[in-house]
Amino acid sequence: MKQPSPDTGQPPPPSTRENGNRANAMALEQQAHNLMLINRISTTLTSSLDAHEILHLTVQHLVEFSGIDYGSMLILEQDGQHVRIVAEHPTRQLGDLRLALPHLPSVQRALELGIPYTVEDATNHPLLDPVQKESPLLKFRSLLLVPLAARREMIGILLLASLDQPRAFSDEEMDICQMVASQAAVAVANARLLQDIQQQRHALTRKSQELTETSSKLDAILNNIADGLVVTDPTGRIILSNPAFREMAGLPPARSLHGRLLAESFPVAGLQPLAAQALKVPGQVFTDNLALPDGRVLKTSATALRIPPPILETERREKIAGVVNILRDITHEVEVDRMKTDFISAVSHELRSPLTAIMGFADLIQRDFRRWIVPHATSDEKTSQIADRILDNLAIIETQSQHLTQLINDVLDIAKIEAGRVEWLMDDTDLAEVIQSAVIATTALAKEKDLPIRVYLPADGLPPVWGHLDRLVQVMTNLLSNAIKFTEQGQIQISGCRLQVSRDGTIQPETLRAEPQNKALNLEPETLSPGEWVMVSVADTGIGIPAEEIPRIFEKFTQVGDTLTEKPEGTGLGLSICKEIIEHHRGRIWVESEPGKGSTFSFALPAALSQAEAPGRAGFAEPRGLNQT
Amino acid sequence: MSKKILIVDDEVYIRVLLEQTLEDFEEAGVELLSAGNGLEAWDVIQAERPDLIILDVMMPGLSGHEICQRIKNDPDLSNTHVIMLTAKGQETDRLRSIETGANEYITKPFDPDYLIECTAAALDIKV
Repeated sequence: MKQPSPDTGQPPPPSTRENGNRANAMALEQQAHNLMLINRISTTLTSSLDAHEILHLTVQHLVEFSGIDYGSMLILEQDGQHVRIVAEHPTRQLGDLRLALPHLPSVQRALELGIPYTVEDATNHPLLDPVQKESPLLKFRSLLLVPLAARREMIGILLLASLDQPRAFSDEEMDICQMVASQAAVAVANARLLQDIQQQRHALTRKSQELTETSSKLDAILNNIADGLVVTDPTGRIILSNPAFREMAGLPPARSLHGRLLAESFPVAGLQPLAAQALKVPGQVFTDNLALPDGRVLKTSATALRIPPPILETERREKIAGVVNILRDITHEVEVDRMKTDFISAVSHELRSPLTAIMGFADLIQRDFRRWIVPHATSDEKTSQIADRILDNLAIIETQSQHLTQLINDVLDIAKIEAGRVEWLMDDTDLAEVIQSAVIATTALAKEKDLPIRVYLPADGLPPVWGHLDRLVQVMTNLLSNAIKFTEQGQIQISGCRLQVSRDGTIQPETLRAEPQNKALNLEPETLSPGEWVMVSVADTGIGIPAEEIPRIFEKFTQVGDTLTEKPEGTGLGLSICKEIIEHHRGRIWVESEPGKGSTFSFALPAALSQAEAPGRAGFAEPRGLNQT
Repeated sequence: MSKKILIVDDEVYIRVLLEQTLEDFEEAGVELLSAGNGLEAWDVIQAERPDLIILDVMMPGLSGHEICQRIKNDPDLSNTHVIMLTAKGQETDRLRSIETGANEYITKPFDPDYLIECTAAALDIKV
């Protein structure tokens, strides 16, 4: 180890010729020495050793060549508040020591200034580090601190120290140290960069593993779901299919269908047209039922495959990449549905047969009794009394059997409507005709109670509605017979009118009811969507419905009043059936009532479009202006 | 030659009920025949050539619809008046009866007066 040269960095002694020559020779020797040092350090710094080793060797060379007592490399930590000793020479076992900057004012100062900073004599220095005072390990006499800067950022300090003797640092020494420091900083920065790259590589590898795992999970899901899945591109070529789909298509589950036309890959027609429809209306689901050659029934649904725009794209428009088709085996559901219908039919048959016998025989007994017994029973008062009682009791059997029949019919009716097993024979229907049929059907009932039925219709008639005549007559008859049933005196008033509901929800009766009514038209406007409607009301002067009962009045088995003491004849299903029928016609039914004064049941149906307005209309017409649900 | 009514139903009580309901026709000289299933009914129809058949739909062997179809497809029998009497009150059932050529369709439980009325009209006999 070289002893520190007393001349190093010192101004040349007073000038004599010899002295001058000697000084020149020494300066030359010093320069050569410095160049060697720089060369060695440069070689060290550019060698492929790891960062720690490089820094350690750099410090070692510097200390050895400059002949100073101690050197170390302090690296600033991420928090900017601590430095760590990453290399030192000779070792004082301080390696990896972490020091807080506030305890090292001179280091902090050097970092702030960004230029070399010297402490010539620590014993009388105003910025003496408290750590130096406290820790004998860090006790220095003189210090040279050179900041390490990489890309204008301070990353650490190169520290050279004289332990016992005060020592000055020459400009040359400082220059060399600065050069070494800048090279070391580059080496540290490179090492950090390398570390970053390695970390990113690890992260990428991990991400890629995660993606592989996610992808294989998704594959497993696709391969294991019971539903068939096939995705096509906009031209109808398959870009993805799962084994369930291939099985449904009658193909080996392992075969790839990629690139094949969907229309040519499925044994039954119907998938491709559905997909084509879905492609035209993105966001909507199109469904259809298909029967496979082996008898299985599939419910297929198709939706456009919408790809959201990339986040950085300026034009934020989603892309339609094709169609997702799902095929579900509903053979079992169809079978259950069929069994349900069969059950309804069987129950109907099984209940009606004994009822037919009960009713028929009760009737026969009555006939025979009247014809053959009653004429002979008048002689004796007691016998005559009993004969009357027998007839009364038989009449009870008859009416109760009729009630039971009606109940069975209603239950079956509602079950059929709910199961969608009713045939709807839709046609242009005149509600005036419906009203007339219902009035005829209930005239006898009204006559019994001496209640007049008044019908008010606009002079120019009502616009037709698209409906099933018999079912609408059923609704009207039900409302009318209810009105009669719950009214003891007064009258039943039927009125029909045309309603125009505007976009803002206001209602204008185009043709006012022929007889002006006292109360204003009381509709909840939100229940009718904009468009043209035909409304029919049945108003009675009967017992009315308490306000709390109104919300439940269209529910099954709901009747007004105490069911034990004042139950009127009825099944409690009539209004539910009316509601189902009206709603099937896309209409609304509601009631207004005041207990003691009477009730008004009304329904509104969308006015039918004329043939000219709706060319090619098939099945059920879309009512004008109705919300499509 | 006296007129004949054939009552076809697999339930004995319904047959008895129908016989008793149509008793007045018997008194007016009409012969009342009955059969308990479709196959038996077909034999009686061929042997007796009834003028009116009151036919249940749901029967073991041969259904009412099948019998009606056979009758209407047979030139010798096609004039026979057929009243379908069924417990199946469904729209499709009514349409099926009309398709097979039945003259009348009555659902169980039935109104005896209406049945008597239909029978009187079919046989052109007042009771």
